[in-house]
Amino acid sequence: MRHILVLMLFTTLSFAAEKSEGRKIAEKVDANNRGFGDETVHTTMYLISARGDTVVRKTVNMTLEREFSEDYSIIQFLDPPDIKGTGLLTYQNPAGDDQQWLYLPELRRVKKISSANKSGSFAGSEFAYEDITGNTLNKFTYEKTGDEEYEGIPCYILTKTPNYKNSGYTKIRMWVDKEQFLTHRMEYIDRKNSLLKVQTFGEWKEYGKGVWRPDQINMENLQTQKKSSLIFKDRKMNRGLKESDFTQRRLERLIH
Amino acid sequence: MKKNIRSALLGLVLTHATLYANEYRLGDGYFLNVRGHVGFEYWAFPEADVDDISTLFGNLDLRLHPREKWEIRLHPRLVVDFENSDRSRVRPPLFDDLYFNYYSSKFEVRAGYQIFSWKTVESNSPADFLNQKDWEEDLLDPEKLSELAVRARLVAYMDNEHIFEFYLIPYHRPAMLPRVDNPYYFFPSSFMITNDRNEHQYAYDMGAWMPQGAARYSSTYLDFLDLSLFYFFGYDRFPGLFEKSSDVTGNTVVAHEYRPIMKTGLTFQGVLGSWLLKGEVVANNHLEEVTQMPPPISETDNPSNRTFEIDPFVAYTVGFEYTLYSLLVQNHDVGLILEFLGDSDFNTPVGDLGSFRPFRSHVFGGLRYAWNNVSDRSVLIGGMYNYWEAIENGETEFLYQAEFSERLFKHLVVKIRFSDLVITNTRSQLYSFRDNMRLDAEALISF
Repeated sequence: MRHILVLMLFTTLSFAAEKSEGRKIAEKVDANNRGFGDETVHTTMYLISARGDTVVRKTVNMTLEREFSEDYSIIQFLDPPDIKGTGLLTYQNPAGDDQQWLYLPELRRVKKISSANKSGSFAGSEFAYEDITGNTLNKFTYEKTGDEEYEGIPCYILTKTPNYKNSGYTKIRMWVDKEQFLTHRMEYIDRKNSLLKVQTFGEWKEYGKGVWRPDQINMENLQTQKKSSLIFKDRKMNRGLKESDFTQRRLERLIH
Repeated sequence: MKKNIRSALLGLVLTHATLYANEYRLGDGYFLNVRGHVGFEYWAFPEADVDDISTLFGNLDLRLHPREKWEIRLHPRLVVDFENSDRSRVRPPLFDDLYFNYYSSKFEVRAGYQIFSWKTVESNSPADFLNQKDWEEDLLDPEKLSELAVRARLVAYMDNEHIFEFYLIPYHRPAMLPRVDNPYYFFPSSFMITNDRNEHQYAYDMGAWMPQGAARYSSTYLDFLDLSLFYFFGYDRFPGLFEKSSDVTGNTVVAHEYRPIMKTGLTFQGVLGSWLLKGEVVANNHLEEVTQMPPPISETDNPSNRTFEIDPFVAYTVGFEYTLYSLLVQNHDVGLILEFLGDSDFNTPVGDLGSFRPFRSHVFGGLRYAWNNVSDRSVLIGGMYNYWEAIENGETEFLYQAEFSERLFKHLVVKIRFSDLVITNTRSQLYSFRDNMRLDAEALISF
């Protein structure tokens, strides 16, 4: 009996240690994302249908890093031309729903929109809103579930589970390299516990002190055979952007 | 003559269609952003005894700026109706925007011709009145006309941003109303509405040059509710119509009368989960008596001008929007809109209203089905129903519209629209349009 109790205690402690390790890994991954101050980047999004037809969307994205991950961001469309100037302003709220406003340039109108649907598609792509508008650390619980090489790179396998409502995923698996804690692959498991999407990352580059960004992100929907790719260029950080650059008024002007 | 114009404009369309440019650098530190579109629209009226309408339209939006502090915007718009030259907007040219804008983190000032939006609802907006409208081009969905104005914004930061806006509109732009060959002409043809501003009547001696002003405050409360409060003093945008004279053929010339009005109100929009709540409430107070001709019913009708007071009234639209995500198919979203449109004068006879206020006891329902695919295909269906007339008098008044749109080949967007009015209520201001079932087809090339 005593042996069983010791075994149970040992198993519990081991399990708890694995969970803590998962959180630690996630914190190191997050540290590679943070410390940028502010960021502006031009993004080209390629949307590829199951038949291979490709459509291009272009945006310029601005982000302001704030305390407690309550970041502000603006995404403004540059292409296709009929929606050029359409902008999405987001005030992230790690504890609940983000605040979002949509600017419609033809109507000169700022419209408030619901951010409750995290699982909805962003601009018709395979990226969901929750994939794009912030993977705030505390929105998930983390568990290290293995070790594996990915394309010759030794990686931890980290499994994160959303702990917010309306997520389209039951869990997400990440391949995180053991040396630099950069993510190389992510697998998204849907609400039916089926593998839904696979995300891979292009070449990672370091911007300034310890801030890393990939130059390309690819997403493939294994159930529909559709794909989307994000190509980033002209990335600038620490330009001195302020909170006043992330307001409804700012949406009325073009972003550069 | 018309063929020459069509050929010239077709060449212009093709030229502009190949000008796929975004931003040009001009000299040292100055940039010019270019965008615009050209399009063609065709309206058919299967039930009415009116000609179909074909319209060529386009605009060019130019912004000159040094990246920060200021910008100059030049935004002309062109409309050519091949059948009815009254609807064309070529001479003088229209400018949707022609202004200089200076801005900083706490202060902005914009001076020149500009278009504003205070709208938060999807259907009829009582708060979005600052700009005059071009009712002649499309009575059902009029374009805004730019106003010569100066707008100053002051921004105060406390827990969040508080914005104070002040508007000066030194000149009143008269309305463009449908004239006798327009499919939406609402009088018998022996009554000739004129849009000649020399014929218009103003309550004050300064006429159209009486300065008009507005003030508006807006901020976000409780972390979710965007609220604005506003005040306006100036001329009412939609005119009263009075009998001015008779022309040489004996037809009655009907001119516009513009009366001073004070408007105060609020707008709000807020999100709670998947619900978007929004609304507008506006109190209207006419400051002078109005002179107006009762709407004539027939060619031989002989209404006389009468002078009367319009009682203060409150107009409102409140409602909500709810989105069902991936309802039936992954990435296909359905948006549901429900709005209530009301007016404290909902039971007042139309002859005593003093202006065009057709939506006084209506409910608007709308549905948007979006494929969320690469071509942004969507279907919109909406309708406005007069519930008060149905309940009280058993009358029907239902205005509905359906629209399909899709982007093809990146630069081309096509739309097909259908609208109709089912109405038995002869007392409604919309009754004149009972035969105006309309089928639209539109193609738009953007650059």
